[in-house]
Amino acid sequence: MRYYETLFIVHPNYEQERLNSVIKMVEGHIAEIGGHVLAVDDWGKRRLAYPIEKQKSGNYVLIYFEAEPSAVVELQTWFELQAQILAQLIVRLDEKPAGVPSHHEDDDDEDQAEMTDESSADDESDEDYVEDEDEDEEEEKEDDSEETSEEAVKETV
Amino acid sequence: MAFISRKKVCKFCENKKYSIDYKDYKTLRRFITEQGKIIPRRVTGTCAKHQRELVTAIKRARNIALLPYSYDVTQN
Repeated sequence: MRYYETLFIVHPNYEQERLNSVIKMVEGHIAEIGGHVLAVDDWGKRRLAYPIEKQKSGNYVLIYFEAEPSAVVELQTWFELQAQILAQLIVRLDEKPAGVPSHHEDDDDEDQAEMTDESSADDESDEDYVEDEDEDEEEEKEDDSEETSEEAVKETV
Repeated sequence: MAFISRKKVCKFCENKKYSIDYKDYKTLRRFITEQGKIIPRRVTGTCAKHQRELVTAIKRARNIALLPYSYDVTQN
């Protein structure tokens, strides 16, 4: 088992209730692949630096988990099939995450003084990371994504 | 009239407690230009080790839309 963190962006039209069900669904899937969720951090809705699938904002969710490396590949593939998830990034951590860092909305620039150790993620250069490009993804609309989320929720239940 | 260059110190070496993280886009933003390019370490003074980590972090942040791949400067 290794430690990982995943940061993914849920479609901005998902209000808190449905967003929570998506988070549950992801947690459920991590459990399904034999992983173990350590912590969940909901960053809330944020502006994207560039539009993804014509969306200018998205709900960022960070999940720390533990899983076998082979299972992570599966999780990655699964993530890509989810229409309501705009983008995701899975990063391997070298150490067990100490706690959940909280990120807040304030977007203004801060000084060097603010550079405190707020994250447990040790970004060593030998870290592997899996990333996706999300370029050739189909442009599915709302109704589609709703269906998928409901189905998957049922699965996890 | 010799040009005396100020000694540049790596910001991450100065503050040892700090680790470079792709989620900390506010810090990373100081190491990219207005166009969104990564600033070379000869300009920022970052040491080689930290520049490598910084580059990885910036690229990750770009991938997850925390930082842009490029800003369109002509638009504004």
